[in-house]
Amino acid sequence: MVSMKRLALIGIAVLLLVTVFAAGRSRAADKPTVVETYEVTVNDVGDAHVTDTIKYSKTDFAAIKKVGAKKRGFLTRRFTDEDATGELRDFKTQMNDKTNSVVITYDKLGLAYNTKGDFLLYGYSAKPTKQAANTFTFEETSTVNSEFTLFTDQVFKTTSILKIPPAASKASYDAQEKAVSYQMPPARTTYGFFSEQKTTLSIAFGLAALVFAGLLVFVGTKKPTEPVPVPVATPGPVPPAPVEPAHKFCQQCGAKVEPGKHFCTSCGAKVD
Amino acid sequence: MDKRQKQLLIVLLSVAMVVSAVLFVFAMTRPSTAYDVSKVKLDVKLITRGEILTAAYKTYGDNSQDMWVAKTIIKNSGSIPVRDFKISYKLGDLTDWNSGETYPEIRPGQTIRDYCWPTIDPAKVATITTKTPVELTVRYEYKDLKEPEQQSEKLFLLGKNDFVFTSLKKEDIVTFADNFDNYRFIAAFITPNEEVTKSFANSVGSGLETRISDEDALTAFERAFDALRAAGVKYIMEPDGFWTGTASQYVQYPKETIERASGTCLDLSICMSALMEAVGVKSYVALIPGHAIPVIELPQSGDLYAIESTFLDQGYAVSKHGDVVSPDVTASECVTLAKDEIDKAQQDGTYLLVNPEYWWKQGVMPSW
Repeated sequence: MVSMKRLALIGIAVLLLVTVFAAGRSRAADKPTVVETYEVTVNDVGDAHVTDTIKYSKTDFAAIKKVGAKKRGFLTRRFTDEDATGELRDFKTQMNDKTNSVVITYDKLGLAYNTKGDFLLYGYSAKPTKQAANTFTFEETSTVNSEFTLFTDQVFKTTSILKIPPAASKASYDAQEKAVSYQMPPARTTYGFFSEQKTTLSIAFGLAALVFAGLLVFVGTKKPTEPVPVPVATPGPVPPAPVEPAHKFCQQCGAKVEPGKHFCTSCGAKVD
Repeated sequence: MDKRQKQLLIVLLSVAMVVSAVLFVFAMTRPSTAYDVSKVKLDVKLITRGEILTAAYKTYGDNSQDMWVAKTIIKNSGSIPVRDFKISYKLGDLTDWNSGETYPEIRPGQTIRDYCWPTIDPAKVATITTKTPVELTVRYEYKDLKEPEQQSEKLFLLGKNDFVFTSLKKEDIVTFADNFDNYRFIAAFITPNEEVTKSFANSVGSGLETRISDEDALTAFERAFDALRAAGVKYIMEPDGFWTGTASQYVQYPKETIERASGTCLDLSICMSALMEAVGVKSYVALIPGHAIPVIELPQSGDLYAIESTFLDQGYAVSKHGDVVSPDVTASECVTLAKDEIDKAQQDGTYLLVNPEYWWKQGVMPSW
């Protein structure tokens, strides 16, 4: 009886182990084998710089690299085919042996649309998992079968990081449009102060020119005051001090008049 | 004020007047910040596809697809925003001017990519039997522009029966699937609602519960095979559609296969698929190297059944493949043969299953 119980217990234990192992295998099958970081940085006018980093296991990376070496453009043909004509600029692909990664970078002009007043960035089917300031983070795990998996099913863990312009405001996720929307300050012209104040400045400078012209005419036509000639003193011998005459003479009769007298004592005429 | 002071004042006033006058002229000649159409500077570049797969004309008209016919890259290279930019397209005489898109503002330095998804008149598409050049014209205007501006580019519409297997460049083809990169467009040729096809299918499916019974679905499949044979349909080998300049084939719509009583392996597979869809049986077209085979999915079990449709041409089957078929070349015999072919292709990894219902939902709608 005891041995039967033991056998039953061993049987149950084995069954549990098998179940746990199977569950573990099942989880392992869903475990991401490729880690992708897809970063998009958008500038003020909606152009984007994209960096897509796909990190593989060492073995998978070696296989990808081998195919890539044989068939140039194999990995990137979807980026450069007819559909993508005129879409991408500065397209580059790098194989990073140290990190077992394929890094694709390019610029895409006009990624954000502003058809409805707001700028919209389409292509985000799920809500962001994080939003800090003007950076949105989306995370997704999916099975991929494409050039990047050499057409085998592989589980990708993709983190998409979207950086909208620092000047953007009212940034939010629009579930209906499956897009991130934001607003930008009004478009600025690049003319500067003189264009912005053109009317005021034209009037002010015009008036100033007229006033100065008027003053110029006024000043130009006004006669200057005659200058008083100032005798130029020439150094020389000091003249002798004048000697007061002891007597005056009457201009009427010529008689001698005593000093201090105002009338001639001879003829009575006024002496001065 | 004496003469000297006057002279000094004259000099100062002259300088002030000249400076004011110069600043006045400078201010007057500055560009205004008000919207001025003469200051608008746009770089407009029209890009068209080289060739249009006419059979998929509905797909090209669906703006949820990436199958644009043309796109315009518009960059505001000036220094003022462009207001109320409107753009529309016309594809030869196949379309009117479309309603187009309006962009309230294109900012200095901003680029806009606008796509053309034309709504093509089906009646006109039906008349395009060979590769035909057509002029695509883009017209755009913006605030205060006196007359709209236009640009044109020539592109080619393939004949309505032309199917190009792949649009990939030869050097980019790596896998078996790459050879059939356009395989989804086969769904456009599968036309279960077209009148001739529907009538033929109804005679095949009468009295059967094809949507709920595995047995009846399989019966309908074999009946369709037999009905086509009874209608005298023969297998033919069609030349490549050499005029397209790429790997392509002249593909018939089911109506044409029934009316012409002949078709290639792909034509027959498409016809069988359309007949099955018309009676409510989920169908597929299997592509294997150099061959196409119709497949159905049974409604209850979900099992797949294929049939070697070229063998509905009994004479062809017996004369060319007499070693593998009986003189009767029965439908059930052809089911077994097709299974073997598909199993082998699957083992080799050279097998592609076109799921029309899936692609119809994705926008590759039946042409007729």
